Amino acid sequence: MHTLNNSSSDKKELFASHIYVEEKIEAHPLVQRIRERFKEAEYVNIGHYKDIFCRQGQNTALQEHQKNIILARKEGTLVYEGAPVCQSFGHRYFYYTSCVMNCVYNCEYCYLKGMYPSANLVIFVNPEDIFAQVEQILKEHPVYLCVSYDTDLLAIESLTGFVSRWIEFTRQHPELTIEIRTKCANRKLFRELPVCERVIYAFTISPQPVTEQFEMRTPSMEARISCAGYALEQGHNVRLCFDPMLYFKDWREAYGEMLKKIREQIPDGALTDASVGSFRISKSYLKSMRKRYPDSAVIQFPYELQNGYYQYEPALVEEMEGYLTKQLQMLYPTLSIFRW
Amino acid sequence: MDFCIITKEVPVDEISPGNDKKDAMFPDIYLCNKVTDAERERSFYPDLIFPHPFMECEVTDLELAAQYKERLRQGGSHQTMVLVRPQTALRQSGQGESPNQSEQGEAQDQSEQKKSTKQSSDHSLEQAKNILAICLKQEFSEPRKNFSEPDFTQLCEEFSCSQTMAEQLRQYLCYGAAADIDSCKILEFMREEGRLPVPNKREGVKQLAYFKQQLIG
Ligand code: SF4
Repeated sequence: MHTLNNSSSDKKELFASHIYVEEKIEAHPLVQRIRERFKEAEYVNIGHYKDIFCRQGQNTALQEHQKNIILARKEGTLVYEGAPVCQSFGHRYFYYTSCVMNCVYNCEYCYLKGMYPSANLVIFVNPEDIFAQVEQILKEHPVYLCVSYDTDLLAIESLTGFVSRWIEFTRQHPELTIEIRTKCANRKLFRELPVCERVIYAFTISPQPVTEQFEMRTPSMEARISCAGYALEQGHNVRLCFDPMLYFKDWREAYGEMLKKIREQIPDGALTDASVGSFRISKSYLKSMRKRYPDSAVIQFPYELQNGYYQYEPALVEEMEGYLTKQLQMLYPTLSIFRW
Repeated sequence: MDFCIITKEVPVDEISPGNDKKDAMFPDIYLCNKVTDAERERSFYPDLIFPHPFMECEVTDLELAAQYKERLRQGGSHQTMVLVRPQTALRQSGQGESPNQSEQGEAQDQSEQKKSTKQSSDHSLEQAKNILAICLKQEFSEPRKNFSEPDFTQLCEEFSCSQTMAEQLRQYLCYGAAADIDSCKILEFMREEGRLPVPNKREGVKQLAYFKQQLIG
């Protein structure tokens, strides 16, 4: 069994004891590379990834403890229009895509738990087909594309090399801007990845109590802040995402403390922008998550249903997001802040 | 935990071993990672999500595939498939016996041999199940606080709940349990303060909101 993640700041190593490979891509170079990396894993040939990933009756809570990997080829529509719950940062042509389904981290509140029938990681070996679809869209208008929504691409960069490939592709297409959302704190990557002014690394930062309690396997708050600062030093574009904000007893103090730590390391004027958003999730996802995770306080919290989305009651949303926005404005007077 | 183990004896030549665990502690027990229904050309992949000390294999077996599908149809179960090589097969492949056993085997009459083979397979299956149960317990058991659960029907009456209010109340109780909050204690205080039971639905809505506030703090 091998560890998936090289980042020394990750709290818990992730093991992949089984790797399922679609027969048609057995000879693909990325499959070979992953085989090299996971020599001791058990390999199982499969027909189509959905045979295993979409199987009914999977116990995702169990799978979370030890995620297996499925290697597949992605087909059909590969680029989607941005969902209404996602922040577009003022971009008119907002899209997202996923070369990977599911994430090596395990955030208790993550919508992926309600979206997918399995917790196993699916890695699509053919990003070149996604590139081709993006090129088609680029013929019509500029594109703002989030490439790390349904996963954390940076956290598995040493395994897949997808982030490097996205940067290379973006550099060749002046009308394309990409966002890479991450909780990864692997400084080495930011030393090695080429700088591109249209690539934005969006670090999700949460107060340490949230990280400890609800963001399993992720790097600590300190490590993420320090890595974001380091990425800026290396010349990369950095966005900070305070999203989702979670409500808990001492949320005000914890978020205040977090901002103080950030300000100590990141000066005003350095960040591309920031986003603030309290927890929200579609009705159907939360319904399925509540069934699967009866012991999770963050999932079982009595949210209010508004226009098909569960969220905190409006007064609390205002209080939390308002507080964070105000504090941010005080610490970073020139920063553009996008509120969900 | 909703967990189910499908077990079967499968002749050795029908099993394609996966990993090459030469030092496997249980050479006669396999966990199946792929079962194929050759007639319908469909394969199924039983769950293998925790570290275990067994060898793994693929198998083409109509009966097992049908069993597996049926379990899936019934829904909810975590599926693990344990296959055991019958002792006869083990003998042929020269495994699973001591020289002593071999000598004794020659002396046994056929029915006794069958009986002992059956016992031995049953024993292996039992052993596999026990080990799997231990693996699962070690990996996944988490301590939970043991608060007493309030009587939901009685509570609905106390809050004078409509259907929607009852659903909210149920969610509040689920949250309380997940967040390790003693809901019964809060409800008891509410009774002591004269908040419960409520005289009408309107008051019920008010007290339900109060209960939520106490829960989420
Ligand atoms: S890092 Fe993001 S994608 Fe990964 S589990 Fe956490 S919330 Fe989900």
